[in-house]
Amino acid sequence: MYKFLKPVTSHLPDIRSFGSHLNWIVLLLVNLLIIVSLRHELITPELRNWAPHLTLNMLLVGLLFWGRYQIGPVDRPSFLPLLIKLCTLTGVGVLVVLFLEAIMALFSGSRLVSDPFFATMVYSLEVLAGGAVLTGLLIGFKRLILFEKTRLMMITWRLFEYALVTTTVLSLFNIQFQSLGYNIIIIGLSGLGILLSVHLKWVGYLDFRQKVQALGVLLVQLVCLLIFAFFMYFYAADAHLLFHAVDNMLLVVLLIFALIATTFSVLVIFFNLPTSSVFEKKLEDLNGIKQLQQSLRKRQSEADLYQLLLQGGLKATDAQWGWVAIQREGDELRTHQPDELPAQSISSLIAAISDAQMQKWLRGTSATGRKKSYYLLPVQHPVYKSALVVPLRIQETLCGHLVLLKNVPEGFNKDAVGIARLFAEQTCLSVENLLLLDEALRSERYQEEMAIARRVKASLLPDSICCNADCQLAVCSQSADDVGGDYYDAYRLDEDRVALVVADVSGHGSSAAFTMSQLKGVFHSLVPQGLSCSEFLLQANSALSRGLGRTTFVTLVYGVLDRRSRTFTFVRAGHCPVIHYSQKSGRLSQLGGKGMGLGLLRNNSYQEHIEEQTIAYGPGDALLLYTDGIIECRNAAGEEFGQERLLQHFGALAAQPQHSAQEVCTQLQEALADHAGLQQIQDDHTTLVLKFS
Amino acid sequence: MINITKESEKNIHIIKVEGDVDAASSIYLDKAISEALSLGQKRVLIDCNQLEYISSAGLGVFMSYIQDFENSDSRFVLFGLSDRVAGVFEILGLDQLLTIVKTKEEALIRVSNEI
Repeated sequence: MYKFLKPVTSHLPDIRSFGSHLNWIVLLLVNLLIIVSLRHELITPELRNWAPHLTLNMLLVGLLFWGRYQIGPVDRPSFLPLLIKLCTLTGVGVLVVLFLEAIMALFSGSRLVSDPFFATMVYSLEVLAGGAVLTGLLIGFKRLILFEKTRLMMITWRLFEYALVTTTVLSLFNIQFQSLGYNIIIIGLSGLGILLSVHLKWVGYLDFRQKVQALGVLLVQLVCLLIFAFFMYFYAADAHLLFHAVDNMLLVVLLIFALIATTFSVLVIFFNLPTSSVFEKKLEDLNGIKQLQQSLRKRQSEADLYQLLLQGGLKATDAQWGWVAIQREGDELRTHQPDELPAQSISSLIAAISDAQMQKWLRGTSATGRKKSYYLLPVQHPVYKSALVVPLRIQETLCGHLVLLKNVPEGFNKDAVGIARLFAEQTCLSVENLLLLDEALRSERYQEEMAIARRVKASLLPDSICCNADCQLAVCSQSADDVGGDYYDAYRLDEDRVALVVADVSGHGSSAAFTMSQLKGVFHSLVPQGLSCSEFLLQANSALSRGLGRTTFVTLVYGVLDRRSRTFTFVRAGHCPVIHYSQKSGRLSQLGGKGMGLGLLRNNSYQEHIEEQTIAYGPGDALLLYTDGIIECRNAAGEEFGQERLLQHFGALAAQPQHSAQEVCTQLQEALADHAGLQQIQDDHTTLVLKFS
Repeated sequence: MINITKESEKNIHIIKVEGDVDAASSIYLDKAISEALSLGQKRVLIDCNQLEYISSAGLGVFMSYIQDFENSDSRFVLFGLSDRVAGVFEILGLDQLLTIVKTKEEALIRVSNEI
């Protein structure tokens, strides 16, 4: 299959070139047709007047359609190639005309040449060559003029095309060259042509070199067109010929349009030559901005961005030297000099600026009192005479400045200031984005750290908790995302005694998790030693003080349940008081007493600040140990759950004998959830409920 | 959330803390106190009249300077604590280590008498 297909595709260009050949063959055939129609005696004189024009017009219209297909719409890079194409076409046309003229001149003496039919044939060939060129130019200029078209432009052009069709029809009525009607139509169409030709937006997009080239090409084209015009005018009065091209209005209009469009283009390009550097500069500035924007995507460093700002700023304003200074909160003033230029002493340059307040600000020793978006300052320096200072604001705070220096006084015009400010703003935006990206990255890392901390915290808590046979024990603990670290545990000391601990570690995230693990280690190493409660606390304080961070402390309640004596002996290390519900009296008591957090006092005087307490429990009594996350839990209005509410709920729940410890615990959590509403929990909270039988 | 203002009158440095001191904002409190210390202030008052809430991180900040103030022989007094905030200090036992008084006048007497 492939082999079959290949020859077909390779033949395609041949077919296309055949098409263009066909065109010329048709041209010749039509030419012959004209001649024959002229020569044939059968044709009446009336017919003789319009038949050649009709054929010529049909041919021109045909050429127009063909040209439309040949010359597609253009864009910025293809202006010059199109102009060269058009010029080549014109040149070839002129060469054909000149070649035929030369042959005619060479055989001027011969009988054949003086024969009017032969002369007409050659003449019509020349006219056809010209016609082909002019239709080509019409299409070419159409593409150029309709570049960046507006609706109005399109309508005008459409009007022009309809007018051309009309002239095609009109030329059949044999309107004589330079008659009144003829002139009116020509002037009208020329006016329309001028209107269209002034639309030369494409010129602006050529750079200086391209403009010079285009100018040359268009001048050649203009000369060729003038030769055509001269040729048409020269033969206009030749009685020898059986028809005259000037009588064909379409051809004349096309020629006039081509002349106007070419002349205008030449003039506009010529007058645009000096300003092209300005346009190029603007494009360069735009490119600079683009580069700056792209640099963000490449994730360049902040210093690279300042270098880009300097380079762009220097180029855009034609300044000779400059620097960027950046001062972040709590940081030193950092200056960036252009890499490509020799280094200079910035402090001596600042000294040359004749504004004391500005000098201070540039040195980073004082904030600027004024809040302008730029400053133009005179400079007293052997080289530099003027300075432009643009403050840089990142995340809406003033954090530095861009200084550009020029060797002429008052060297920065409005445009230069504008572009320098644009560069500065763009750079600040890029730096801002860079910072945000960093922040996002940091936040991601933070989230990861939190996830680890959560896992560690969860793994430190016991899976099950032991208790004596005469009581039920239930624990509910909820962990917040980033703050706090609640810890609880129990240890059976002997048959009758169980040690309990409920603790709260200050700090957050991974640091809280590490403190928690320290605490667990301390608990499990001290408890088996069978220390008294206060002794336990003393040892724990001493152990933790050596390991805790400067601002970190631990609060806890450590107590021992004794089944034989039916007592609970405990110490409170700066922790929330234990709540005791007595079934006998039906009352709640808060067991505060002296106490101090672990790690607060890192010396031996700690024991003066703690107090061991013992309570005796009866059947139906309940104890509540909890962490401050419960009472500090806030709702949307910022209202805390509070000690009062906790007491109220616990009292009500504990008073009902049918409630198990687990039910009391769960319902307390529910009450807390009701209070918090949709608010996320801000801190770990733990409740440990004991219910005695 | 937090607003810290500093003022000095007659050798007495007053740090006014307004709003909530939580894990994030405790950094500013830490900075303000350490600045006062590094400036060699011997009499530092903390105005807690507008202090709404203090978390364990904030308590940790106060705790961490107790030793520093003792070492530099400076007076460090808190005043104007709301009942709730004072309760937090009490539960932790921090009231036993810090000088906490009700009014500014009392605080001024405390710092002037003892030096």
